[in-house]
Amino acid sequence: MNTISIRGLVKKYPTFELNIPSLDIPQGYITGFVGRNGAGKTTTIRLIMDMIAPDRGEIRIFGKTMAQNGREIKQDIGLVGDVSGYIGQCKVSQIHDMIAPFYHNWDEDLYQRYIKRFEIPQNNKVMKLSKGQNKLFYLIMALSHRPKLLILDEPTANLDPVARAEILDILKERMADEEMTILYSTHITSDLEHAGDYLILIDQGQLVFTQEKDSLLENSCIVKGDNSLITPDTRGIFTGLVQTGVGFRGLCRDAALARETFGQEVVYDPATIEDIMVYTTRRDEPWEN
Amino acid sequence: MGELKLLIRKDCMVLWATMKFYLLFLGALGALVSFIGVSAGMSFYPILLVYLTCYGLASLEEQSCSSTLAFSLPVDLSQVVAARYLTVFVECVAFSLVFWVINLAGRLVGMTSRSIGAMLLFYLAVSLALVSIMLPLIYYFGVMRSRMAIMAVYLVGFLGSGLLTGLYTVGGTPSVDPTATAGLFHWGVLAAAGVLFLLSYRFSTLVAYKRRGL
Repeated sequence: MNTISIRGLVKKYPTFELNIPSLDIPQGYITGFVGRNGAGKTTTIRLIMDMIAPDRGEIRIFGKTMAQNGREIKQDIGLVGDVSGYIGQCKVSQIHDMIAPFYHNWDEDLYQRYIKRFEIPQNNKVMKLSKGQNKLFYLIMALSHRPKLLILDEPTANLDPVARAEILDILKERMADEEMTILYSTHITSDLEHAGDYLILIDQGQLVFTQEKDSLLENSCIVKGDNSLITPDTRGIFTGLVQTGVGFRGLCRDAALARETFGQEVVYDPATIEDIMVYTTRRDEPWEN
Repeated sequence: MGELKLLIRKDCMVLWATMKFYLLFLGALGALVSFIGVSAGMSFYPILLVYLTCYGLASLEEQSCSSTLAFSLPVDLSQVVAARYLTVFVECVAFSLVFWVINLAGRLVGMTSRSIGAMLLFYLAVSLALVSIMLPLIYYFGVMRSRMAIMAVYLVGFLGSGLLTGLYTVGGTPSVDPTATAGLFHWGVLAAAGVLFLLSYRFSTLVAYKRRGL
């Protein structure tokens, strides 16, 4: 069962084109949505939320389209973007009073529990909250109507490690308590190392891959060795390759094939999500000796 | 509570939370001027309030990137636009009524009930006409780019009213009994402003959906 199904999605801008032929976000899992800045992550999220209209294609959420069931679908979606959209001059309590009545499933106990736990001052204006408190408040508001789908767009950008850890703790708690689907867009890939179940990589508006995270990490490795080992044949096994005067480093998405090709002549390191993103999306000039 | 009511409530709460001191100050200033008896100079009052609430609210939302919030709430885009129009309509009526109450006190310095009533209709019509022009400009151009256009609207408004006053002075008083036609005139102006307001709402809804595609 998929929470989000995207088919033939195209959105064109004068200098950018987003093209996602097919993408499914499975229900009940955390799906990491990674890519460089400007890769198309936020555009995809804006399309999912019906903030912008696609040129072509269809997006179904809970099996329905926004055009026909927008209000009903949004009752079950929590969105935490880079900015909250809350009027900065309003107090925390006023924002709560404005927003809470919109949701049928608003859980006031949950809201109050989190507000007390993270010591969000209710009489402070939103603009007076620290960046971490602001993002936590935004997340608490998004979670308090018990959404079935939580969309996070760079939720930990510009936050200190403590605030990031608090946000990830809340997410883990909610995932343990109820079946929620999370689409977690970020370029801080370390957030997803422990929390993510699936991974989607997007680059220059094109979907690069979507795969289960653990199998992706198990099958991928970083290979380091001497430049003499790089031939037109061996070059083909790398998803990304960097060559310098002292040797090469490359990402191979098929670790078994790499071991079969290079044997003991190279060093193998486990690949991280960051390695996979960096090597897959970087655009280096070919190295010449 | 219906979504439309909740959106209007949200807009009013934002206005009160962010602008209550400006609104109270302008109200007090209006009352003071009226009590002194300079009611002729009161035309600035609804115009300033309408600008403050209509453009000010849009500006606050732009600063806070509130379009994100509007699209994440379980409401339709058409409801967001309708709520904004209903909010400013309520504001226009409220400000005109406050102005009317202030001017009732002005009777102490010689104004008649009829002229005060006519002023209520006239200022309500002026307020509605202003927001009918301002809101589509904001929806079409965005807050920053619409600023110059709105200033131009105000400039034309002030120049126009000055020109009319000048012509009225040069031409002398009309030969027909003004009390016989004044009521009809003011209700007619209000009806025209109402039609403009409805057309403006329709246009803004179309623009909001069109701009969503960008």
